[in-house]
Amino acid sequence: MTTVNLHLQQVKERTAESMEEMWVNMGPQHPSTHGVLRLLIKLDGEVVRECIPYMGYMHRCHEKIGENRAYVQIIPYTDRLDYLASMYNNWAYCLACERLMGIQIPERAEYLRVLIGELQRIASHLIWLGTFGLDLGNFTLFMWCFREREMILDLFEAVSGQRLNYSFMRIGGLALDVPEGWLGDVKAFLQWFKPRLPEYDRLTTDNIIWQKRIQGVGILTPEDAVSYACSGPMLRGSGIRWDLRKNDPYGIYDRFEFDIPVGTRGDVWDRFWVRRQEMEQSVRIVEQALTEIPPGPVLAPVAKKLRAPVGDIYSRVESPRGELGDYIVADGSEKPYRYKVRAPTFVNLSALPVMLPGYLVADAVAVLGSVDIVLCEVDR
Amino acid sequence: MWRYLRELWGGFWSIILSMQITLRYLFTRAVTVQYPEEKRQLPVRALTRHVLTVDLDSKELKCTACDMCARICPANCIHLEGEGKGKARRPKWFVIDHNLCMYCNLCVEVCPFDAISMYTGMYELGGFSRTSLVYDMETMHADGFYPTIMTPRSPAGAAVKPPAGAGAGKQGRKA
Repeated sequence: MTTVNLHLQQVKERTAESMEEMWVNMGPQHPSTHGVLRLLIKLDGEVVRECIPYMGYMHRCHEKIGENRAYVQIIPYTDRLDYLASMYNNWAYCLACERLMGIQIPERAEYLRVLIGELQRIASHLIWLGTFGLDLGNFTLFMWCFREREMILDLFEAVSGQRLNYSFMRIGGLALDVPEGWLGDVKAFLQWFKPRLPEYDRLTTDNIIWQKRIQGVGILTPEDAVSYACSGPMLRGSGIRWDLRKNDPYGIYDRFEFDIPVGTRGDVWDRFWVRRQEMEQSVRIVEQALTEIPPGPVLAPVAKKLRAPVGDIYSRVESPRGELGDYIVADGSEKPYRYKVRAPTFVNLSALPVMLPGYLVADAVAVLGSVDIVLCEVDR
Repeated sequence: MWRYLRELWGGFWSIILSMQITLRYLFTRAVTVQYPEEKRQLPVRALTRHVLTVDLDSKELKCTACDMCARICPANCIHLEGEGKGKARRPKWFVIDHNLCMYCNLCVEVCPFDAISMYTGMYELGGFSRTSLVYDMETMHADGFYPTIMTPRSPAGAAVKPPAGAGAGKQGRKA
């Protein structure tokens, strides 16, 4: 075979290959990637064969900034990680610092943290449900979920003065006590919110189009979920009963009664259903906290200049997206020597390449939506 | 064939069920606020533009240029320089760069003299240049009474204006 023929044959092979399979960029400016995420997808016709997520477009050196700030000053930066659940970032960071410095926070602060945290979980799941509905073409759901979320944001604004980046928790408790009558507002919100969940069901759970769209899509087996270190609704959707609020209770979560919803098949539907039921459980926790909340101070007496003893700590909370952990190494000065965030969405997103292959491009949007990513937290 | 038709009917029926409930919302009041025309009432604690509070009698700034706020600011957006010694110490110039401000309220919490406030309700800060968000002492000089974290509150949550001649006392966190 001559060289020219060989070359021609190679060209033919390559063309045939490219006719069959094709690499396509989804993102970084794709509307359904929820931020700047680039998915490199190998397509065979309309079927996804391979997927490589590229992250890092929003890298802001969060951990390095933390090493150059005093312990109190990091709190406003933690808001900017998972901006849909800022309270949890505050909580994870403050909890790590409190355990490192041996600070006992007052009882009322513990209850308020649980109360606010569960409200935040409802808000975060609502925005997830809304944008997930938007991905699947259900615009009404998007509007309704945002309406309820705005009410929670109003509650948070009355407490902390901010609607998104609250910076409300402090090392040793909370920045301020809740204003008078606020707990009554929470009760009124729950009264409004509880009948809304069946309304969402009419649009989603009972809707055959919705069921057909997400059932049996994006299956993540329990073995894969564990080996990729998934957490949160991703893990529970695969049928593994693992919730840090029950398995490693932080704060006062051991005092509340609630169930951990789990899925059976590990598909998108299960992840949707787990989050949908977690909203109900959060309502239960908030109601219990409202009845038991004691009066008292909300901030433990802490030094103005906080110094941590030499040592390190890893502490984790169950954020709406999974296990949010903070690792702090202290060298005895006013600043942490090393500060690391274990972001749940970053870990969950790394399981995308095992979930996508074999499904259609249209399903890729649903699967990606079901991971519930916040790119600011993924890239940090 | 029958299965296909049944599924088709099922999808059609669930759309009708969904539209029923959507239709009901057509006749309820809208929850949206048409912003530039109508404005919503901000809560007392809404964190907005900074103001340097004044002593209501002498109309002088309460700030003593102790540099606490500038040191705790995580974004390093507060810059000031003081002049004078002891009780007569006052800021010579005081600049807050709101391009960098994260609205975390730490500067207000740390202030020992109740001299800086973010409960001002001034939130329409748009401008046409970057320097339009850099506020100096004259812009931030309070023209009246502004509540801070330490201001005592009535049971309804409204800030209580101190009587004339009361000065800045330490009442503890009440906001």
